[in-house]
Amino acid sequence: MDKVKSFAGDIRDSRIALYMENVSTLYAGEKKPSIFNISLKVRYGDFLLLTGPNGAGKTTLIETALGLLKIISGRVLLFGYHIPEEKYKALHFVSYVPQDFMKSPLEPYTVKDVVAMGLASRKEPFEKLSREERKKVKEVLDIVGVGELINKPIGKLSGGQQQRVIIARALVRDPLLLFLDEPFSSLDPEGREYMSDLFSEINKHGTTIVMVSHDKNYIPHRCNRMVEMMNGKIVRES
Amino acid sequence: MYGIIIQAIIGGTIAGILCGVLGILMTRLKLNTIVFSSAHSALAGVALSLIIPLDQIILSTGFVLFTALILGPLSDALLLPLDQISMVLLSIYTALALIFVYLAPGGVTSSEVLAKVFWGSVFAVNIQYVILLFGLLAVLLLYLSFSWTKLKAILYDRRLAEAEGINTKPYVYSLILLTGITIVFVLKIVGGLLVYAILFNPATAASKLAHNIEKRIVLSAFFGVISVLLGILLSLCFNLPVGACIALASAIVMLIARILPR
Repeated sequence: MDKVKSFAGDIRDSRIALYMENVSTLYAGEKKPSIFNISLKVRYGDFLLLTGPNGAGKTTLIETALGLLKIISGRVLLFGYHIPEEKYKALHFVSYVPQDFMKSPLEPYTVKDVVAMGLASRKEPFEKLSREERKKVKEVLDIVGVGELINKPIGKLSGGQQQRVIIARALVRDPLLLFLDEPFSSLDPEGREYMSDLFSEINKHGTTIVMVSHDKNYIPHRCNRMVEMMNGKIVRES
Repeated sequence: MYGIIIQAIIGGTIAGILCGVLGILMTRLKLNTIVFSSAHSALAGVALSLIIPLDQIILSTGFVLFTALILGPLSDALLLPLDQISMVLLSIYTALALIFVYLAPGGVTSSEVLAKVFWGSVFAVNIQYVILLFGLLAVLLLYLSFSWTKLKAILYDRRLAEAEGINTKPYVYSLILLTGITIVFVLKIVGGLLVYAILFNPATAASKLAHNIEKRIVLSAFFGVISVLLGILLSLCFNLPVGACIALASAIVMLIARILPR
């Protein structure tokens, strides 16, 4: 297998970022699988749009790839690492922007705290953020356009601002693979345009992107593949 | 008498800090129902110590550990969420505690029996107990220093932290264990039915007043200490059960904090 040197060490497979073979997944407490026999290959550098109606299984597919759900059959590999057995090795190279990111006004964290948490998984016991990392937190907040809010409580921000912060948290990790779940849902048209260009720019620099969106009006220009889902199955690929 | 009061004040202060800190952490992790089932498992352990010749701390620790061990597998096997399993266990442990008290020599009419199980006693605080509480506090502070960067991310959003490559289970399970053991010890002062008042009321008070998680933890510990000391004072002045006084004091602290402007 090829090796790619990255900030977080070597990955096992540099050609296939995500590999899924006949995968079915179960949510805790449910008996019926949420996705059935999904087979998907995402190559390193791809920009894949995952689309389909509500309840099609798009978020479930991402959460399966991240090892958050119980896989009842099939095989999932992230950069060559088996999911869920080796997920903590694989997830160092991955960032995730979830759909449910909104926090209440009483949330006891600042914007700076939330973005810095993106680096927590790479910290050793007793280790705190370095000066360079703190600088990087500020930089990514500037990139997504909310640098001036760095010391504000996260819960006091609008939905669009909170979404930008959670995108900044994903970017601070310099991921090789970025999962975006409806990343434009709370943004205004200007914000969508800006983020769409930003994701294209990130992809241009080598980051593989899998983006869930049901809005086909804002498809980043670098997007080179589209997968449509319905009722837990892939129904179309282009 | 003064010696006992000084020991109770020192023990109560440490217990207040422990409960205040753990209350905030467990609330952030939405594990309140697990705390309830742990508290009631400890209660059943203490009640069992009335009828078999084993120390209450050993028995209640055994019950708490057993609960911590079976919660996850039971949830998986029965396909039920953890909080529902916790509530089922809570009712089982309460029933067991009542049966054990009923079967205790001297019967339920014995005030000493009831105090030991339900409302605690300042006279239960001795120097060994204070040393054990201090050791537990040292373990908690070491744990927080060791894991704070990752734990902070888990407390914000456990699922996102897991998606970013933090194995959250060891952090969460060790917190559940620490909380269970704390309940076992604090139960001696507060009693089994009111122990969660001192875990959650200071945390609720601090949640209103502090803007960041670190300050919230410190403030909750402070409110925990105030509640315990005020409760001990009320108990001694009016000759009332100490556990009930501490629970009421913590409720008063919580209400005042909620009324105050942020």
